[in-house]
Amino acid sequence: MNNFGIVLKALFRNKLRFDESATKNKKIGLIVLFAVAYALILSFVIFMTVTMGAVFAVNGLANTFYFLLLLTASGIVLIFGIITLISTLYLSKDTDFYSMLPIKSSVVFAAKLVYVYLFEAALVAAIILPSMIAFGIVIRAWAWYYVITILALAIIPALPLFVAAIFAVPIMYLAGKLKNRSIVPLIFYTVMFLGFFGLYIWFVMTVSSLNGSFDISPDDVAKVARVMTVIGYIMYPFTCVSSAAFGLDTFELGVGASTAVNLIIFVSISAVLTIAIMLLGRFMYAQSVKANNQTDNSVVKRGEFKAAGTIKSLIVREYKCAFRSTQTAFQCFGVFLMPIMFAVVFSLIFKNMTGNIGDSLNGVDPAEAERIAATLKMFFTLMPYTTLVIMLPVTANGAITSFSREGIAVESLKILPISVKRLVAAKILAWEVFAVPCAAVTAVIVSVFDFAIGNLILSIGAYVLMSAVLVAFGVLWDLIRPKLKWTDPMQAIKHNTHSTIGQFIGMGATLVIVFINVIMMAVNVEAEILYIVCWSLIYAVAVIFAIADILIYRGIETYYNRIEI
Amino acid sequence: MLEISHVSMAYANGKVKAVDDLSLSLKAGEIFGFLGANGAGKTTTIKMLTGILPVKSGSISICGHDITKEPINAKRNFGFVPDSPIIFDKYTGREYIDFLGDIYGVSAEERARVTGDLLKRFALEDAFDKRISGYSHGMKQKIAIIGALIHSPSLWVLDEPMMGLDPTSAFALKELMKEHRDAGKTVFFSTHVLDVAEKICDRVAIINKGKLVLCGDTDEIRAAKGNESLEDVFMSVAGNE
Repeated sequence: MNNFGIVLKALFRNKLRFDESATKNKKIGLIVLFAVAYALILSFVIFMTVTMGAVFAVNGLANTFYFLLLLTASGIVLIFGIITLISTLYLSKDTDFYSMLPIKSSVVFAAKLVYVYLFEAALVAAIILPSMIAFGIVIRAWAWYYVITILALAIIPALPLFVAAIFAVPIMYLAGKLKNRSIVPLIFYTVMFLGFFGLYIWFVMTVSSLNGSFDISPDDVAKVARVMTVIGYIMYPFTCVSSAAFGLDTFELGVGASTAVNLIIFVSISAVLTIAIMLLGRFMYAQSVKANNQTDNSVVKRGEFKAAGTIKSLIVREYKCAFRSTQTAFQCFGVFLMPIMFAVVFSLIFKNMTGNIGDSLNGVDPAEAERIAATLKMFFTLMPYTTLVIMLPVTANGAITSFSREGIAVESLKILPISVKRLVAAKILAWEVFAVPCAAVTAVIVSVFDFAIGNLILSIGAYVLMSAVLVAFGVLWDLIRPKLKWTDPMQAIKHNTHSTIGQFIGMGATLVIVFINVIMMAVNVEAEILYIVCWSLIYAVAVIFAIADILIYRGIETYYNRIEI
Repeated sequence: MLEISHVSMAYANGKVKAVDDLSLSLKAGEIFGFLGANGAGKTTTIKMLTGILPVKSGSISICGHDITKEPINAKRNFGFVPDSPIIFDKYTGREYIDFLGDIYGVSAEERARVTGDLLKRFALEDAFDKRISGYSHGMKQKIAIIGALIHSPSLWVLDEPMMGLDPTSAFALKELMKEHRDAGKTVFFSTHVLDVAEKICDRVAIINKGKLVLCGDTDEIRAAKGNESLEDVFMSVAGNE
């Protein structure tokens, strides 16, 4: 095996090996939990894709929707992949180890890049591919659609990663020369993240004129087309592959030739990006790793001692440890922006769906039409509230990894004269300070878009309660089986099976609310009943998690004492 | 001061005994050396007495507080320097000391008093306000030593404390251990460096494969073995078989 293969194999082995202490039954249990939660999330994603896609397809915008799906795939890579990329390339503790081996730094760079790409491609394939297939079936796409989709999804994850790497390599090279170099990656992530979501929200706001009546004015279509042209140029490879998937004769060469040209452009741009990043890596990677590993010898301002209470000190420690580690800062704090951003997106989407419901009920008995319209209006009014509940477990990212992120330093905590109850209380409090207000703000944003005092009060109460119990659940769940052995703090978050399952449990439970609402809408349940059941379900799920918190809390002494490195 | 009574610890479902029926009693005002080859059970014993590992068999009490039954009171009475200084490296040295001061209830004035002297001795003043992640191994060891003493503990536990220290700092550490003893407190430390143990320990214990094989006054042990060096004594009871 050549050096590239050896390094790639070592990277995968280091991350993927099962915990030796896990019994067969535990492994099966974890896999079943994982599968159930995945099935729930996937069903939701497919439902949303098919529902939204149908609206686009009816208006001749199927390829636009396909483009949107590719954009979403890139978004997933951007959110989850970029941090892993920078972390794996520069901040992982194995960088020193690989530097001293007789292997070219460009080989290590390429192996690490491929390693991150393969992980992200698997993630994207797991979530987006089934949705795209479902969409293809709904719109009765031609056979090439499926072939091109598989090709696109194999390459698409590489594009945002490589583009980000093209920026990141020189930025990290320059950051190595700065005093406060640790803040540079954080700024880079934030700019990438906000830039992408800015583009995404702009797109959604523009297409929000589309509504559930399947009746869009030519002006609306023109507006969407203008925005699509701009975004299409920014994301040109996506435009090519979208056109190819739908057999558009974009170059007026005939469908076959245009499809071939589009695919050639897509593959060529990807290849050029690959060559560019490999060249950059060859010339700058080794130097930037060395620069970033150098000790900061600058003179610092002398501080003063400041006394504080135990809980406050533990809370401050929680923040400092999470924020000062570049790999974890964004994952723990950046997630608080997500429900707020999605609150805007979902509100826009569903508000417009309530607009002209009556038009789609032409020919139905007036009394029955009125009843169905009331149910649909209530459904679309409640949908942002119910779908956003799914985002609340995501904001518990810091909480559900709070023990895992300690790593071997957990031994330093265990020798301190603090009871585990105080420690757990401090960790829960630390993350609730951010998560609970964020949940309240999310509820207010949704209510502002479609104001009703009842929904405002109920949603603030539900979101605050749900957020509080989910954060507590996160900390307690992590304590049961923290992942403490890692070489890179990102492993405590991203390659932490137990925490991921905890997140899936939270998201799965909240998804059930959405499903039940969809079923009730499908069978035309009375609007009032829909309203009562929806809010009751949200509160019921919160109460179930509160009970789970109490049950786990009873065993915290045992869980803490059994932690061994 | 420290009572270890019939403590055992086994791994691999009881097949491997890391510590086997170990009993030790440490008095106030002594430096106690805990010696043994690699894998003899020194670190496991220290991890049990500091509360990192549970005591499943036997008992350990510190200043009269059982580490299993009264862990908080027991932990208030010792300071610990681990073999690899696992401290919160996102903190600066000062923030780390502040954190420990808050946990042990040490006033800001007392923190300044204790650290002022120690920082000078270990030549760590310039790095004190920098992040620990940028410290060398020796510097991390030094900040761990300062942190362990911030609350003036009755029992000072050190696991291989000389590792990574430069000669000046190693000398300073030995002086600190003697001062701790002279103040009527106790030092319990494990080491591979037998010369150091011979020079500063009042008593030593040697363990081999988890079992206590020798314990007593350093001078008396040497005298009983015909004034052999501690190294020769060690080799005769715990050297390679």
